Formats: sequence, C-alpha cells, structure tokens
Amino acid sequence: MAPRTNIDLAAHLVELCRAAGLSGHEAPVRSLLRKVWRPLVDELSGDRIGSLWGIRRAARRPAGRILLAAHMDSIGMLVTRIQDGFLFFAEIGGIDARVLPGALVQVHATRAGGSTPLAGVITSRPPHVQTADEKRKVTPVPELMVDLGLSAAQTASRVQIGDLIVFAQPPVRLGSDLLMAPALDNRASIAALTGCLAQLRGHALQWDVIAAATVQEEEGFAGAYSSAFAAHPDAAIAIDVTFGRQAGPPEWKTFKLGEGPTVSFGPNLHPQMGAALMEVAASNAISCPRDVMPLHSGTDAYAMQVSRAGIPCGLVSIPLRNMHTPVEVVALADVEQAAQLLAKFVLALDRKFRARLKVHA
Amino acid sequence: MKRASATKPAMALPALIRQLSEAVAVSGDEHAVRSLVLQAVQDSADKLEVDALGTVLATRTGTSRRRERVLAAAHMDEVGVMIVSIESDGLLAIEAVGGLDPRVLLGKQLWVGRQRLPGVVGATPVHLLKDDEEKRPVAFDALRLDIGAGSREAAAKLVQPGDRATFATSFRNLGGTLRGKALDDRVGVALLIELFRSSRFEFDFTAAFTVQEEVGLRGAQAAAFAIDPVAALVLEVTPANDLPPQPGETENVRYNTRLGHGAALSLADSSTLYPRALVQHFAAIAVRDQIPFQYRQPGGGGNDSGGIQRRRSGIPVVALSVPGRYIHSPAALVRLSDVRAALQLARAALSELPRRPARA
Repeated sequence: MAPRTNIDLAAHLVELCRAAGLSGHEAPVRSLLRKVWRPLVDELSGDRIGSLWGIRRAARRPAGRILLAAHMDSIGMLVTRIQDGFLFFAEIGGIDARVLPGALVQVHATRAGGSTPLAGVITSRPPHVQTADEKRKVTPVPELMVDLGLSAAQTASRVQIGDLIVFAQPPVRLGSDLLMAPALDNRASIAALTGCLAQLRGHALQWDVIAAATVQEEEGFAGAYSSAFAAHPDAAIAIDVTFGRQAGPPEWKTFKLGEGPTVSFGPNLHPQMGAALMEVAASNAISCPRDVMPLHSGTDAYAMQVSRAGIPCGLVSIPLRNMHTPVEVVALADVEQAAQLLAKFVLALDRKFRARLKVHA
Repeated sequence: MKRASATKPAMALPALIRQLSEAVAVSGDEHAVRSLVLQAVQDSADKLEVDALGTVLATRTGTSRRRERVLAAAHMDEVGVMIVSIESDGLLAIEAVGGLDPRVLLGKQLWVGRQRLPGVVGATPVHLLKDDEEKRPVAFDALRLDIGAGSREAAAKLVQPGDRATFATSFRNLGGTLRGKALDDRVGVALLIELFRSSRFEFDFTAAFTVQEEVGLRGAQAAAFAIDPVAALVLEVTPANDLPPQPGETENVRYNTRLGHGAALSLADSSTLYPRALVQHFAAIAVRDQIPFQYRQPGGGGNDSGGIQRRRSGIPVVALSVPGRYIHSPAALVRLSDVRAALQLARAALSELPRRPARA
C-alpha cells in the first residue's frame, strides 16, 4: 500500500486541538504527532526536553540544514490549592483573566492514578449578588476557582496540586472556511508543518530538513533554544500565529483571515530569509502579507536567532483571532497556504543559499 | 405480571432537564421550550392553552366541588443576547436580553438564531491590551459576535437583526450535580412538568410556563390575571453565591443559598415580600416530612412572584427555588438532591394547602 501523502489538514488540525499539551506537559500532542509524522519522514528524533523532530535527509552530502520550528505547547492552567472542593489555579502562558469567568474547563485529575478528565467551570458571580466593587473590576486569577460540582471529599480524593486544567471548548467550524478552537495557537502551525512534510514526500531534497514541534514556547521558548542548539542548522524558520483582523485592535496590527500567511521582517529575522520567502511566495502565486516587527517577534525565532554562533531566522505566521482565549479562530486556507509556502521554500533551497545568508545588505 | 401502563413512562428528571437546558429560548422567543412543554403536559392536561404572550397554561381539574384555583409558575425564557446590527466586516453588534454581565460573554461560543449557527464573542488578544484595559470590565458596546461571515452581505444571508443568541453549552450530569446553560429556570420548568403530571389536587391546578420573566416578569402578570388564583407558587432557580471565603474573609457570610442544603424558600427579595403564613406552611411541611430546606437570604433579585402578587386584588404567592451557582452564565450548577427536595416539598405543601392561604 502506498504511503499516505495527502493529509486532510482540517481533520488533522481538529485532532491536534483536541489533544492536551500545556507548556511543559506536551506528551499527549507529541504522541499524536509522532504517529502522524512517522510515515512522512526518514527519522523521528528530538531534543532532551520533549521537542519532537521529523527529519528528512538530503539526497547528497554535503548538504545544508534547515530547521522548521513550530511550538506544540498551549496555554492553560495548573491547580495550586484546593479548598472546600474548589480548585484555585495559576496560569500557564499568558492568559487573559477577562475571558475566564464562566469558561468551561477540563481538569486532568491524577490523585487516583492515571489521568481522569473531570468537567469543570470557572467561577463567576451573577449580577444579582455582585458587590459594587465586583461590578467595577476584572476578577484577578487568584480570586477565581474551578468548580467540579463535586463534594469537598470527592474532589480531594481525585485532584491534587499540579493537576492540569485545559479549556473544554470543542473545535467548531465557523462559517464555511474558518475553524474555532482553543490551542490553535500554535496547533495551526503544527498542522502547516505536517502539510509541508506531506508535500515533501517523494521529492529528493538538497538540504536536510528538521521539522521540530517545540516545547514550552509560551513560557520562555525552551524547546526552541534546545532544538536550535542540538540541530545546529544553517537557517531556521519559526512558524507561529499572528494577530487576525477582528473587532478591538487597531487595523494596522492585524491581518485579514484567508488572505494568506504572513512573512515577517525586523531585527529578530534575517532580511534574506524574509526576501527568499517572499520570492518563493510570488513565484508560486501564494499571497503573503508582510508582517513587520520592530522589536521582539514573540516566537521561537527569538530564541533560535541567538543559538550557537547565531542562526539566520525567518518567520511565517498564520493570522488568528482572539489569541490566548478558548475561542481562537483561523482560516483553514491560511494553514494550507503556509504548508505550501514552507514546502516550496524547502524545494527551492540549493547550494547557493548558504552564501546568500551572508549578505546583510 | 406487570400491568401495562396506559401512559408512556415519564422521562427521568435529569434527562428532562437536559432536554430543556439544551433548548434555546431567549426572552421573547420561547418557541423551542414551549414545544417541549406542550409535548410533555398534553396527556395530563384537562385544559391546555397558549395565551396572547406565549405562556403555556395547562390545567388539571380539582377533585373538590369548590372550584378554587391555584397557580404554579416557572419561566421558560433565559437570558441571552439579541443581534442589533450587522457591520460591514460581517461582525454582529449585540445587546443583552435580561440581566447578563458582558464579562461572561467574552471568549465564549454562542448558538446564534433558531438555526443555532456557531458564533463566538471575540476578545482583543491580551498581548494588544493596554495596562488599564486588562483591568477594566468590558462593556457591551465593545463586544462583537463573529459567525465567520467575512462581510455584511454574507452575514445577512445567515442572520438578521432581532435574532437571538445564547451560550452554546452542552448539558452534563456530573454525578449528583447538573451543569448546563439556562438552568434558571429550566429546572423550574422540569419541576413544574413533573408536579403537573404526577399530581391531582382538590383545587383546579394551573401550571403556567411563563414567557419573558428575565425582561420584567411579563408573562406571569398576564397569566395571574387570567387564572385569578387563590394562591400561587413560583418554581425557580436562585443564585447560591456559596463560594469559599475570598482573601481577607474568614467565612462566606454573603451566601444567598447553599447547594446541597435543600429547596430554598424566599422571605423577601427586590420584587416581593412573601406572605409569612404561606411561607410558614411550606416550612412546617418540610420539617414534618423531613424534606431538606433553607431560607433564601433576603436581598436583591426577583422572580415571577413580583408579577403575580400584584394582579387583580392581590394574590398570595410563595417562591420555592433550587439553589444554582453561576446562573446567567455559560454554565450553572445545581444539585439533584435540591431539585428532588423542591419537587417533594411543592407536592406535599400544595396537597395540604390551607383554605385561606394568606391568613393561614
């Protein structure tokens, strides 16, 4: 039977969003990805802290090496204290406290052994009983709790401090071409990476490709540091999400969904990587708006750029609405286009590209 | 051998609550719940009508010849939002229908319109908030509902101003605790259906499944006038607010009711001062029959009682509630033991209702 090369990226992305994988606790999403990537690569490997690498070897040596990095961790919460059956929690990654009251969550309870998912809801006070002070403020995270609807004794016998809390919002198609789900930051980019690997299947490559699903991006880029060091690439591309056009933020900071993945420019990115990505986009009729970043890119590129003696980095981003909420939204077309852009970029890499990266004009 | 039953077996209480909770009926558009109610009570009703506002009035004739009437009410509607405008980018501006805190809408999925389209209430990414914005409660004006339409034209094909939306929450039985949207007052509706189907009293008993409670007790006012009862019972879900003490508190002294402590009898709220004699009748029956009950702490909030009490020349009314945490949010919690206590107490107290309720 021929190996599967055409992957239903939408279905794959939904599956990725359903898998847990909070920063530092990426095992569920990693094992799912291992299964999907195995037929697409020559070798599966990883760094020492949990990042997963899918490696494609170049047809001939010597060859350049490119690292394509997308973080697989997501934001969430962690049980810090249990009182009267209620769970107090801390955030993992930057959570907006404003979206938490009334949010449905799942607690991965471990006290009884294994990991039992328990349904919970984050506390809120109805308007009827709010004090004047409560009406005026956003309830800070330390004053919020998860309610499992269980008695104090039932909770204490199942949950322990350190248990993980994830958003229970199921993935839902919005309109005809959008997907809404928690953890689309950054599972959308992981899906793009899978799509890229699927498209590279059967092609002889001039460069080695290391597709890395990195860990702990949301808490300080740990997996990007370790993967960039261990892989020692000639160049790297981070794949992440960027701000999608929505109500609220100024228009110039956001990108319309469905109009293509963005390519970034700024001190965190190598100008030749940006230029080369734009050239590949143009010659393959892929629409790619320019995303300019005057400072920190806020992505794995930030860590990879200063790994070892410095690594030229590019950044491809998928526009996403409502970042770091349970209702993140992307256009599936942008995920497909990002996969296409990455694959075409890899196929365009040749012997001369390393020299081009020395040009800083 | 078991005798064949003439009527089909009633749905178990949690299953009935599930069905009612997952139906969408924002005030003024109670159609979906009304259909379920009509279906549930039609076999037991001696008289069944839908009044001018949409309230279902189901009556079981009494066994006594005195022909006195007693009314029991539970409201079918729930809080939600109404689409008020479709903007050029296809996003929908919304307003609250009922007492809905905009803060619990942020970042939630909604069911939009009768076709229950998925939509989300967006939130500006935390990365792009200025310092003070992160600490300031969001205003309704700033909320936009996103159905993934992309343009005004595309959105207008799917929805129109006036369509309602509410939280897209699937019901869960957590084992003794029920979690769902609109449990205020679908739990009351389920109780009233159960009470109606299983009881025949001396008096004529009318179950009023009312409309528009959340926007001013509208349906109850009309129903109370039409029925003109000697006494009325309101079946409700009332806020619990029984969370652990906040930092700086040693004890929660702000609770309204507490989950697991039984059905709650109201003494006073912002719409009604309840007739002491009638409340004491319910309390005495609860004590005698060992049915767990508690008093709802007097204070703000109200229910259909306020609409009923002042109709015609005054109607003595009692409110019996199931405590609910997080009502008017995506998911409320109630305890099944409290639901059962409320049903038992309602049935027992009505069976022995004094002949002159207000003066008992």
